[in-house]
Amino acid sequence: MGVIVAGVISALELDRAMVDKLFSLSDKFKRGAVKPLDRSLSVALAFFEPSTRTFSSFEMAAMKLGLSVTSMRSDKDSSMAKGETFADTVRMLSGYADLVVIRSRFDGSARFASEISGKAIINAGDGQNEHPTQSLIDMYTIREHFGKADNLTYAIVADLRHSRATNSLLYMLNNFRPKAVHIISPRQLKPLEQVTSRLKYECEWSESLAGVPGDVDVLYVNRLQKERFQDEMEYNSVKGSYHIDIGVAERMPDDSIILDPLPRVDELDRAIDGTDKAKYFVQAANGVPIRQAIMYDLLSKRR
Amino acid sequence: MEKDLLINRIKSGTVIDHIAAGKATLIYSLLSLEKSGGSKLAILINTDSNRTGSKDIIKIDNRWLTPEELYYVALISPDATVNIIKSYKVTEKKKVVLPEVIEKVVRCQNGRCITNNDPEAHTKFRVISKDPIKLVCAYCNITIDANQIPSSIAATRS
Ligand SMILES: [Zn+2]
Repeated sequence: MGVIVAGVISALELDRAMVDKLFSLSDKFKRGAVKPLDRSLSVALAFFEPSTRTFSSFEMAAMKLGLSVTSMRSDKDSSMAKGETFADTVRMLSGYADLVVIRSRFDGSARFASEISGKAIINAGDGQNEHPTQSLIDMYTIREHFGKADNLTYAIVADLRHSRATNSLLYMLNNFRPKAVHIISPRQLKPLEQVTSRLKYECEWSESLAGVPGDVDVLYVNRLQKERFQDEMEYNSVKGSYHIDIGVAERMPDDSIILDPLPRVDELDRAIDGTDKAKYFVQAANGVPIRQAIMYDLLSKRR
Repeated sequence: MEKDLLINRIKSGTVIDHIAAGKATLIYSLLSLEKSGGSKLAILINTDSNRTGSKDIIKIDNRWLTPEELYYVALISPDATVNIIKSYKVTEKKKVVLPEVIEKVVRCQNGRCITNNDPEAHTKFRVISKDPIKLVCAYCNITIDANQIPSSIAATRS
């Protein structure tokens, strides 16, 4: 087993000091006020599972940092299709890059990669487990809007049982003393006990959108995944109850916001896009400076 | 006493004592004790115990447990003790100890877990509760309860 090098594997391991440091670094990247890394470094983007948005935002962030980028996308293009194991592919990429970004359909693959790589690993989504960089983007967008990220009221409408983005968000909120966290989902899509048992705050669950409190600050929405339901009828019967329309948005307080890690299916009415509350495209754009900050920080730490 | 009499019948070997009542046959099958090369073997089920009312005991002639096998015993019955017998005498008496981290012994029940999808990714569980036993996968975070442990161990040994 190789040496374990720093990386971003789980939101549970990102403490407040680290998060604040990455946020102020992102602020600087947005202003263009960061000294470039002083020598030629490289990153491997190892995407064993298809992705467009996460991949392109990492790629863009790497290019802005002046890194050499090598990329491998989905099982099909890679040697894994020819029978090479995940471990061997990670070792090979670690052999020629200073940093490896991994997306895989296997839970825990980023943790395993960090044990065998010898290079810093960034978890860009591992199965249904975690997506820690997404949670940094979420909180950064919230902080940017409110000028703070502590003591806010959240309503999360999603498939929390299967979503790595909401797992990492819930873990990340441990750092921000939320005033209240309301979870809205069908009963069978509630977050797993293995996730909620690690939270330092209480969550209140309800099945209907009536559970969105009148004083909500952040409405976080993510699509219900059709393939998770037993049958299509069951899906059709619930999907309408989680559709955020302009009426829901209008009932929210003036300064509140709506986030969605995207892509959206039909959870968010397009009529909301033009309102001040719609921050999901700002959120998507923040992917680049946050990922610049993460890669910059990890690469500056290496010897 | 009956108990002493039974232990003393082993000249050299191992006595697993204070097994939770009813768990001896599970330990027997997980350790594949039937394959102990013709060793004499005794299993006492629901025998009297001063501590817990009743307990199981396994005694095996000419057979010693590897550290890995001791983990299996600890996972099934955390209060068991293991006595090493030489020349009809107990020469060593130890309580089984559940380590903080259990590697390789337990299989992860999550089919998507990397430990089920890469030949080099061995399982690693942290023990988050000892009574009742609760384990969490260091990779995928799934938890395994005491009642899931027998099937998770059996899967690694098949
Ligand atoms: Zn696992």
